[in-house]
Amino acid sequence: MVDTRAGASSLGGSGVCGLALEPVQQLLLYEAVDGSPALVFVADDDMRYIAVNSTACEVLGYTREELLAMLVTDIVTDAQAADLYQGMIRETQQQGDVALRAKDGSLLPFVYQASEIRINRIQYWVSVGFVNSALLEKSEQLETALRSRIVIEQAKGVIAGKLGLDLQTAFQVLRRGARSNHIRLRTLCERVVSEREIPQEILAGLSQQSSRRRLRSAPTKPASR
Amino acid sequence: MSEDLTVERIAENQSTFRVANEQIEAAAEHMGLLSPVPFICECAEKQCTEVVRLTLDEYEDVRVNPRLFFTAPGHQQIAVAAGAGVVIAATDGHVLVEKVGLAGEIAADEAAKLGQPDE
Repeated sequence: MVDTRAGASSLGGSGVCGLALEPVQQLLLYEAVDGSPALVFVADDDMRYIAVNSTACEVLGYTREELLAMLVTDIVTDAQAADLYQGMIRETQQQGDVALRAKDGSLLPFVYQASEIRINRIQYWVSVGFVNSALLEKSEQLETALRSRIVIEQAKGVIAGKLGLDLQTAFQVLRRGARSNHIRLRTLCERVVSEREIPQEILAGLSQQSSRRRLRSAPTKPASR
Repeated sequence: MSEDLTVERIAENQSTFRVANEQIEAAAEHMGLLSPVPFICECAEKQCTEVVRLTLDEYEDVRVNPRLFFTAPGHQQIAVAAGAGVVIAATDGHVLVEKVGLAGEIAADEAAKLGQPDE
């Protein structure tokens, strides 16, 4: 079996640890690295990707060809990415966590360990790590919560502006509308924001409230003698 | 453990916790909290002080149905044993119980008061 995939030859003939590897050993080692659950990136001194494993491609959503045409700074979004890379070269190793930008634009928290490797006397840098799924789940939850909060804040602003209420009272009005009509608060808020009108569900509650106030403030009929 | 709770008392107790949780939600909303908020377990046990953490979105999903309540795991048993509720979902952190029969009617009536303007 001949593996023609990019990166298959990057292990070189001398193998890791300076020991000569038989072709079959090279192939086995390559398959193990390529199919590893870890993301593996190999780059040169100029931050160009020289080899990446299948897991890195799958997780980031790029083809291998696409990744091999990119620089480390295209994927690592940290503003200090280039400085971090130079630091790794100086120290010959590094560990830490950075955010990787996937093809769909999402940011993935990546915990890695990087170190120098030499193949045919040429220096490369290999980074092996994992996407921190717990952190990712947390950040996705926060993003969802934030999106909901934004539409609720917008709706509060609309209601407060139109009815001359403070924001806390505007929230109470929105929530009453949602509760009394058995609809999600977020759904009602989306309607307020998109229609820029006060939905009937809220108006009904307001008219009910003003009727009650009128009743309370109406003069009581004197008791007949 | 607790007094012998009637279906009515179970529904009333749980509705009381719901009112408290509405206030917690309003406070959390005012503070702009994004992480899970500590709500009070809405079980039938009046003395319960267990905390159930839900995001505001999760909380709102429960409140859409006036017969739905959430409890800490295991705390649904009184209502279920009394025939006042059935478990419709369970996670590691909480159990969702739907009130049925008379308890369901009381829960819906109490929820309708939440939708009314403040006095």
